[in-house]
Amino acid sequence: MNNKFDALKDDDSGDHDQDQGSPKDSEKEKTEDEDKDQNSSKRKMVVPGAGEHPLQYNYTFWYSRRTPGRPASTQSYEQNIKPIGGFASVEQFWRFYSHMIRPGDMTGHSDFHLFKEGIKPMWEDDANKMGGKWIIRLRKGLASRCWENLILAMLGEQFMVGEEICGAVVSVRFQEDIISIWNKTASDQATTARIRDTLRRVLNLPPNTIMEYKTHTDSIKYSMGRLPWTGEP
Amino acid sequence: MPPAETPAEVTECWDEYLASVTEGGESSSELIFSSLLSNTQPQLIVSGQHETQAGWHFPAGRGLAEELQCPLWQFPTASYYPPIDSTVGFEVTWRVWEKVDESATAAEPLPFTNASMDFTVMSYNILADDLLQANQELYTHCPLEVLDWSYRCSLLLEEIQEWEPDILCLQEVQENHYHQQLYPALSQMGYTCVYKRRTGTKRDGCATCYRSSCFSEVSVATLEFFRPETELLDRHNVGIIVLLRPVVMNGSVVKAKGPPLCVANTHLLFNPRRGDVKLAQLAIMLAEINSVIKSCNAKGEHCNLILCGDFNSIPSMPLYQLITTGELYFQGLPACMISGQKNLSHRAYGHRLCVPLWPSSLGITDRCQHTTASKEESKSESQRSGKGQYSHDFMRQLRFCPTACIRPLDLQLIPGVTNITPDASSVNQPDKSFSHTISHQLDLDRRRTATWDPSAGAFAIRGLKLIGSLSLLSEDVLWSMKGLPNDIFPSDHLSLLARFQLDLNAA
Repeated sequence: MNNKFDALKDDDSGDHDQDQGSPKDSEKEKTEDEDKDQNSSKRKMVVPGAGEHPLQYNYTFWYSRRTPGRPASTQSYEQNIKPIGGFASVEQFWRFYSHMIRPGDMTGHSDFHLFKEGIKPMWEDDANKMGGKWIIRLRKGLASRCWENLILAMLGEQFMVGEEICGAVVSVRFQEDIISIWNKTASDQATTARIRDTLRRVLNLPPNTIMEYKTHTDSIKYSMGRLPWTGEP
Repeated sequence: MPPAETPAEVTECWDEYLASVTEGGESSSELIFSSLLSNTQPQLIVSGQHETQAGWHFPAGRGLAEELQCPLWQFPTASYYPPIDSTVGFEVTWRVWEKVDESATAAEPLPFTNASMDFTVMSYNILADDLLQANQELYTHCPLEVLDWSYRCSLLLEEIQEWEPDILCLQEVQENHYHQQLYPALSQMGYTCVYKRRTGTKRDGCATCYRSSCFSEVSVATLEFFRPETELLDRHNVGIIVLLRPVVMNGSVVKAKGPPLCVANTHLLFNPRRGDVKLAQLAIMLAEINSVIKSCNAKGEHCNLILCGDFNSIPSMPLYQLITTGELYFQGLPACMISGQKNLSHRAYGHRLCVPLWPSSLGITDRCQHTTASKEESKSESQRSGKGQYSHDFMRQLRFCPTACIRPLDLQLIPGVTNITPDASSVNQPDKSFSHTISHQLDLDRRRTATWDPSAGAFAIRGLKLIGSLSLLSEDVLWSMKGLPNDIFPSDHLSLLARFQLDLNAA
């Protein structure tokens, strides 16, 4: 499999949805590192505190940033995407969220990922490999509000699609920002339609907002078949 | 600019109506009539949805200007009126019952089977004598004798006796007159009465009365909109909410008990320029009603709702829209355009509404619910579903809870990314929770059009059906009676009367 993550490192042309892949060449390093993380978080076991409002699922925040100016090949995976922390209740979510920068205030080529505990924000994860995502491109200035609305809807189980939701991503780019929500089964049209409708409602999107659904398999194929600097069609 | 910022302006600008013009009065007699039929007409808004639009009882007649050119204008021919029953000498029968357009009900067949109960509701601003005395210039068109309180009081009682409403919501009830005349008379007529005087120095207030033979009282709440700790709410208006249970008696035996009926009655601030105050007063009322209804729902009972009052607002305008559609986008609206009482657009440069409409210290959300209530509700919702479902509003309430303000130990420090300090006082909070739209979730009529018309019926989805209302009188007719009050109608407002059918099985 190709290294999708590296593929986009030299691309600053508004590329936005190739960032979630994992580079195979650094897979080992990453795995070792994550094992460590997993072990430590397993020891801690993220659970809701007494009197807190439990979420249906535990979630993990991830952050990735493309370091400018460095050759892609020298960047290891964990330099680009790292878990920030996990939570199990509404209160714990706000603890993390309140100490993190709003997406709209981020600079450069950065992403926040919020995925269910145990699902990596990568196409190859078992939960994602048959999946896909809804993508919404936003003009600058909207990302913070839309991201917050999106993740609150996800954490509050407002999509009502059973266990289909995997996670959400906000990607800050040069001229636009992109938010996306990932689900498990790209072929399940009832589910993807429901996710789309819920998105429209919770994000309060204008009727003419373009929403695009992309299967991860398409993303992989596409990424493999193009040169890294060509950008999005 | 919020009114609170410059005290000088507050005095100069915001209180000018308090000094010389009192509630219910306009500055010229010419305006009384425009207010008569619409502006300050007490309104009766019923729960439910409906699709009917009944017309005026009188055909569109000549306009006011035409009338003035033709002072000897005659009453419409008798065909406009029902044959006067000789046993009923009382002339308020010029107003007639109108049935709700049956064609509208055809589309939605009514579920009512056997056990139902008909009842009538009257809403009436009876013009307090104190306010009449204080604003005599508004009534120069009236012969002195029709302004006399004892005369007006006897007409009023006759009118109530004529129509025999089962529920009576009065506004501008002067305290001493209530105790000396109205309460004794109404008690004798079989009513149980609840009275709430306004706070402050004005002696009038609201009274809600119900026929004891038809309803038993479940609970009563009286509301004061004056909140000294909230600058916006510095006006002395009040409201009453009673929760009744319909009772059908057969002799002394209770035959049936119906589902609870919530009856709310209020008289909102008059000042046409202070739409912001009116909305906040209304929000308190709606939040309180919401609590009453939720308490019924918690017991597994559906609660019907009838909202009566003098809202000092005309139809199709924002305040009315909030009540009937359940939603109002208020951001940027001039405060003087909220009620639409008169055209103040030339002064529209004045205060415009902005977020938040009222401070969070009031404890009422932009959904017109008590903050605690909406928390409890969300909580119980999530507990009930057991699926970890939370609304945005609910989650945002926890944003700056103590737990959330402590930096998580395991949060990696990434400069510029995870080194943010939560700031509850930042622009995001606490007013982020107050949106640009206020709304309510009460089951109130959602479809009223520009012309306010009491005979535009309303149907409850469950249990309550409007079956008729008393016709109003046209402006022409009222002019020909030398305006209001006159020797038939004792107030500067007309009473509003509607008849409902309640499904006793719907509990």
